[in-house]
Amino acid sequence: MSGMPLRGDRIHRYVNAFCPVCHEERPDRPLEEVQRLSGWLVERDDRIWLERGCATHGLVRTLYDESPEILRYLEQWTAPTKRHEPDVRGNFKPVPAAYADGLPEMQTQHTCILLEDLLDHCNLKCPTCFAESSPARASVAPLEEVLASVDTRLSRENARIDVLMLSGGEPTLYPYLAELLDAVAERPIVRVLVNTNGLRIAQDDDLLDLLTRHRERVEVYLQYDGESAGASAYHRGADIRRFKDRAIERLSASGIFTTLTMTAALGVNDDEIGHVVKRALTTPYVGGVTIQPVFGSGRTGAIDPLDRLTHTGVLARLEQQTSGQVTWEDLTALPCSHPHCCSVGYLLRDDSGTWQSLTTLIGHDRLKQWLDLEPDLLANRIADDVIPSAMKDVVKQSLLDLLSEQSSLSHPSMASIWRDICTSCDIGIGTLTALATGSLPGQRKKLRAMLGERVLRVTVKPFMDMNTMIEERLTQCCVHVATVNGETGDHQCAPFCAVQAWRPLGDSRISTATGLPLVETSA
Amino acid sequence: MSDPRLVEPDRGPAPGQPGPYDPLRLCIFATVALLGWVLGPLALTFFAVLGVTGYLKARRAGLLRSKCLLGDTRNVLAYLGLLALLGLAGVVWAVTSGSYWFAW
Repeated sequence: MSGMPLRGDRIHRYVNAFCPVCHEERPDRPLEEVQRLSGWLVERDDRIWLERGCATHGLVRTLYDESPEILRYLEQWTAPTKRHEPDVRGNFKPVPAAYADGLPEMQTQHTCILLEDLLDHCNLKCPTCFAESSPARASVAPLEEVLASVDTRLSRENARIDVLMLSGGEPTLYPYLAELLDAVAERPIVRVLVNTNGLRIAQDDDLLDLLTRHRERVEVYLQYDGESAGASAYHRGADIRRFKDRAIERLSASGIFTTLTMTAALGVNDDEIGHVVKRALTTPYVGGVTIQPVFGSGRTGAIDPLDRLTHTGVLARLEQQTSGQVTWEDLTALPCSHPHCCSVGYLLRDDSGTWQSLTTLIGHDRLKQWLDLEPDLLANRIADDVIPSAMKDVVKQSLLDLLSEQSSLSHPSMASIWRDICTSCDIGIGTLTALATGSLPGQRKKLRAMLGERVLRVTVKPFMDMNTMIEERLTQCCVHVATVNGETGDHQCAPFCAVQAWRPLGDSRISTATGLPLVETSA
Repeated sequence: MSDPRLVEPDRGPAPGQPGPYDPLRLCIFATVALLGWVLGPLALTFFAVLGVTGYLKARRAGLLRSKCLLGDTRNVLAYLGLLALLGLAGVVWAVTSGSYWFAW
């Protein structure tokens, strides 16, 4: 007898997942009724598939990632996570029911980014909008509720929030934006990101002045989906490229660090990723690009769950679309979060005008050593006097800061980070001199200008919908959305993808849970 | 229209359920007939000796009754021995008579 035959595929890892068919049948089902399913990521036909067994629907298979090779590469990059304080101690309920009471005990990462949805109202009704915002939705979170939410998080984060992200709805329409930015400036919050469609920035001088006044702390995340009218029409419902161009011009001229945030969909604008990167490379103060493969939560066009753009698919497209200027090996997984959740890479323009990546300059192996990902290797080379141990510690901490969810070019510690890193790599004497003098009094403006023109951060951020949702990524998530407890009214937060996917959690977002009609609040 | 995400597990026939009938024996019968036709008494000798060898081994291993119609393995051995002798006689006759020993 020959025994049982081989399966014919290769299990990549075992996971807990959820049934997208059950979810679509009843998206608002109580969280307690959501079933966690046994499943696995499996390699087949040179792709990674997510398969889970559902008691109702049997074996359910969806595409998880396009490149097993790149996914395995990303999984090499992990780093120790930070402690967190649960919103309710003793909350050991299973995912997702646990999130009804905020961050549970079994979360394994603190809040890197606190996202406050200031309002549900928006001046666009984009066909692609995970928050399902629109002009018709008028709910606005009262300022005191937003600040109470921020203060609650500060109390659970050892009195420091690295990044506060203002979102919505369209946050530039928030009637109390100026007061909020002033109030935030008085708190131990390192940076503030404003998620915007750019329409008001393109036209409103007062708003631009407000952002310029806070530009040492505030960075703009500007929706920018590419160069084609088709991409704009598909994702935003109209050709609004002229507003985007105008917004980029005005932000750049005002010296406000801006990240272009691209929503990319297969067959729509997945061939425009290179254009967005190139535009960022050539525009001063556009210090970052974030590419987000479209995900199916909220309002979206049809996404084929068996053939869609994924994290590794975006990475694979970089080289060809940027004429080799950026490749997937220029990025690493963001070590602080789950390696499937985000990848990041830094590009630096040297004195000859050539863009080079941090991984090229430092080298993958040395980068891993510095990040302590290979403790044995590091131990074996402890006598290596090329890199003194004190230097190793400094560089490691700098890299961890750099390769973390909260990092961006407006971070106050960027000067020292770059100085530490670049003493060990060759980006030119002029650059080094500028970086070194950047930390001296009076040189800050010069440093800002140099960072704005010569450094670009590229990230790929694949959010999960129910076709790609796995529990371990929620557990290690550090992008948390401010929510309000439905029973106690306490402020708390929950992982971004969970809030967007499950209706009961979406309804607990601060803008929805505490919101008042726009007319009343602005009166 | 069925949801393309819902798939059948990749597996063989469930335990206890026979798969589709494989008429292998019919193929074997035809092949034996072919060999008999082509090789004549030589084929009969070869298979009969093979059978005797196999049944001797089986009997030594404790097989007293066979599924063969003859039942007792001693009867089977006698039958196969007789066939071997017949085959051998056929070969001798073909060689000594100078006739072409193939069946035709």
